[in-house]
Amino acid sequence: MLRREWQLLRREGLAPWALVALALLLLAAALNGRALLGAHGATAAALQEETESTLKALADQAARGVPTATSPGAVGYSVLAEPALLPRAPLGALAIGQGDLLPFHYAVTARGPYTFLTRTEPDNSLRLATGNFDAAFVIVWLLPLVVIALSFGIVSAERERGVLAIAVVSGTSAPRFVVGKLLARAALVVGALWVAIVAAALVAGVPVGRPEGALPLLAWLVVATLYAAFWFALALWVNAVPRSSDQNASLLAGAWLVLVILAPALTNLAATTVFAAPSRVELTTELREATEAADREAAADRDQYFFDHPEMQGGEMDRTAYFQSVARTEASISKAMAPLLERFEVQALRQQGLVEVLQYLSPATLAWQSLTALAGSDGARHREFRAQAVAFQGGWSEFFASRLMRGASLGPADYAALPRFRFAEPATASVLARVALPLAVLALLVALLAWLALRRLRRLPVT
Amino acid sequence: MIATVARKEFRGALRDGRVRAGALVLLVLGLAALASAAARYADVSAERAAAQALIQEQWTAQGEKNPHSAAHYGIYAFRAALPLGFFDPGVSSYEGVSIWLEAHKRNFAIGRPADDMTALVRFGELSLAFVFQALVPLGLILMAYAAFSGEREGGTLRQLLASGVTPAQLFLGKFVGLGGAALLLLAPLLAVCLAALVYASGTTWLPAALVLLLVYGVYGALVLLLSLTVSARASSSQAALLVLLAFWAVVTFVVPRVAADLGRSLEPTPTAGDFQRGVDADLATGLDGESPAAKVEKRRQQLLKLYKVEREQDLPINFQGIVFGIQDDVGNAVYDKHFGILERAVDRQVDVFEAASVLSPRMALALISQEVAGTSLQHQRWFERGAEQFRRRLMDILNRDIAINSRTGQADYRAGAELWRRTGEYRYEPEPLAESLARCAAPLTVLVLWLAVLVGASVVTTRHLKVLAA
Repeated sequence: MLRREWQLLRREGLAPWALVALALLLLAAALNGRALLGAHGATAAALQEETESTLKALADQAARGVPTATSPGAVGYSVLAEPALLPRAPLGALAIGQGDLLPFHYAVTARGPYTFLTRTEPDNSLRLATGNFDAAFVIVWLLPLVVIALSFGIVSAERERGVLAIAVVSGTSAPRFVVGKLLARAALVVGALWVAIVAAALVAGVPVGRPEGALPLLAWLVVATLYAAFWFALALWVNAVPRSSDQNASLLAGAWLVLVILAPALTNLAATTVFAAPSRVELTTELREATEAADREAAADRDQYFFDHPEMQGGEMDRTAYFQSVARTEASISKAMAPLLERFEVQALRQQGLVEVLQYLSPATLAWQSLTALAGSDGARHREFRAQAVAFQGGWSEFFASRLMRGASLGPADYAALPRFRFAEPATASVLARVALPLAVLALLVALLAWLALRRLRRLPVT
Repeated sequence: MIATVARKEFRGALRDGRVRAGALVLLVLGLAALASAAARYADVSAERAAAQALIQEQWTAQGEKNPHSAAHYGIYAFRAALPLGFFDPGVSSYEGVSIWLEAHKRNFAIGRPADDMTALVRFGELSLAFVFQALVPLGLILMAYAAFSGEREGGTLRQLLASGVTPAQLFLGKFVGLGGAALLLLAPLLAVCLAALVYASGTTWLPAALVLLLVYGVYGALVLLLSLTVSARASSSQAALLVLLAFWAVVTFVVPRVAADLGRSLEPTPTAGDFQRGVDADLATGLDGESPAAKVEKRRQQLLKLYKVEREQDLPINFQGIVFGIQDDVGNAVYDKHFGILERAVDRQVDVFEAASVLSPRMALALISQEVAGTSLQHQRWFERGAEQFRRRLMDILNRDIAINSRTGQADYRAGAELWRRTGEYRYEPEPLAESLARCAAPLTVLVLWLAVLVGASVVTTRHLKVLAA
């Protein structure tokens, strides 16, 4: 059956091209993803190297007693930054998602998290607005088109040509004949898809030999298979009513438009309208007010200092007193900003929550959400990164502030004891658990649709 | 003859339930996009205007300060929303809306709306521009794919031609009839959009809206011509539909993404780190090989000679103000250089995108649409440059005030509200339409080329029209 269908398809001329195109697009998309993350990797490596050499230089200087290196204030508040790096997720290059939009590194200093949470990388906004060409895009958008092209006439074309009648006369039942054809085509598509996805994963540098790469990749194969199965089942269901082939094609194209284009766009629109993000513009003016208030406190600090040290009147504060004042200013700005920044996190979580409900409206959203979740680019991993960076900043800041406040100076031992940021990757099991329900629902949907299609098919006239 | 055919097609299309249903869906989607955009436009406009006013108020009320403290305090520039942004948001979700204008530094615009959206935003936003760039063409394809092939399969094509209509007349008639029907069906949505625009902003943006209408009209005509030509040449309606749908999907969704990412691979954008390192290095050495410190020294000697004094303190001005001025001149040139590097890298990516629009007229349409709506990348630069000009003027005023109104070493010099008022108010002015249009030469050429090729193809097709089904 498989071989016969393949020959039939080859004669139509469409199938081999469609399958080859799909595979090539997947490979090209993987290459593209790898190029993007490769650039990230280079930047990350350079940052790390730079930090190591700065640290080494500072430790050397501290050993020699150079004041800028022994002052916890100068080092923490104006010299040293620890790069908090988000390493690439094992499948990151396959689904870029928000990966090229949200920063993958933060410069953590003893100043507050507000200093790094609001920064962005310069980029080409036209490209960002156009969207990424990655493997997830090829699967979610283009795979259905290939399935539709191979199956929109699976019954109608056979009926139009009279083949269905011949098949029935020669002893096969119509549903059996049609389902056999469909399964053969599905097997071809899914087979090609598996080969292409695994090849794409290899091209994209997915660590297929390790569980954190292999398991999500297996889950990717499941998502892609179920998603392809959904479109085959839909094609069968549409075909199971007597209609012309081009009516079927129009209907399936319409379904693609609604499920792949409109449903996700409307879901995003709903999430960002219902749980609109707090205003960044307001955040700007609030930051300014917090800074002003902190500056007024600092002026009071300064007056107090000169009141306590009348001999210094007209001069400058000494280094320690100055940085103690800076530390208090920064702590008070951070404290004022923390709840304001928190609002963004809360609202983003609510948006995500709504998307996780609305995703069931469309298999395309479901597939996209699952693929990006498995690839760590759906926003959840980035939120985790942000949370870890903010928590780390607390410890980092404390490290310098505590030494500054008790008037201690930094020695080589302090540099060796500096906390370092390491992203704690969410467990693979927890990532897999997140897609379990969506995949179960998708599987159920496929089963339901197939069952409905078969029931319809049994009543289908053969001519 | 043409009129008869056109009338028949026009009525046929309007009587077709599927066409009416499709038009209804488009109307609903278009209205949904309009409503959400209009609400956002109103919010954003009010919010940014309020923020700009508040920032100005904070600036004027900052109290007595040394002008250089005020320079470090700085001011913010907000980009006001433009009314046609509700039609085509362009790149605006991916560009920052505010810039901190402070001493010594040119900052990036921050606060990209897309940072606060779900990852689904990367699927594309549902905007009116999307409805007209992607969905309306699909509707036209579905209306027209069987225009010739269907008549051929049903045998009516032969009868028609036998009755004396020439293929060219038939083609033109179908074009006019179907195009007219599509226009009529879209008229309510267009009217609502125009009304919303006039309600929101008077007639200021009407010329731009009319340009948009014209360009989208050309694109619609192009899609219709293509659909009719394919239908006339295809072996069957089914083949025509498949070809047209594949073309639509590739041109609308695949080519733009591939081109955009190809541009980035060919011409990577420098990172913020690269940018900062470059700026720091050049600030330390100066661009012309003369370090800022040497420049300051030279100026000091000049001034001492000019005023015939020995020491800075004896100058009738505050030399520190001059130093700030020299530092700013160096800094400005350095920032010009490095923003230039960044902008050129992005420009080359956009060049790749523009070149690829030869393959996808939808990209050409999108480029023109963003330019005219005021939501293109270049409009963002216009905002950024305007804000930077304001910053430089502001710093200049503050530095001069220090130089003229205080003496070297006078640490307790304070200026007040009078100076803060004199620095003026930042106001965002959109770029004039003519300048935006001037940038559309390349994409317009692409559209005209496509139109010319399709007209040629349709002429050839009608000359050799296949009458009988295969």
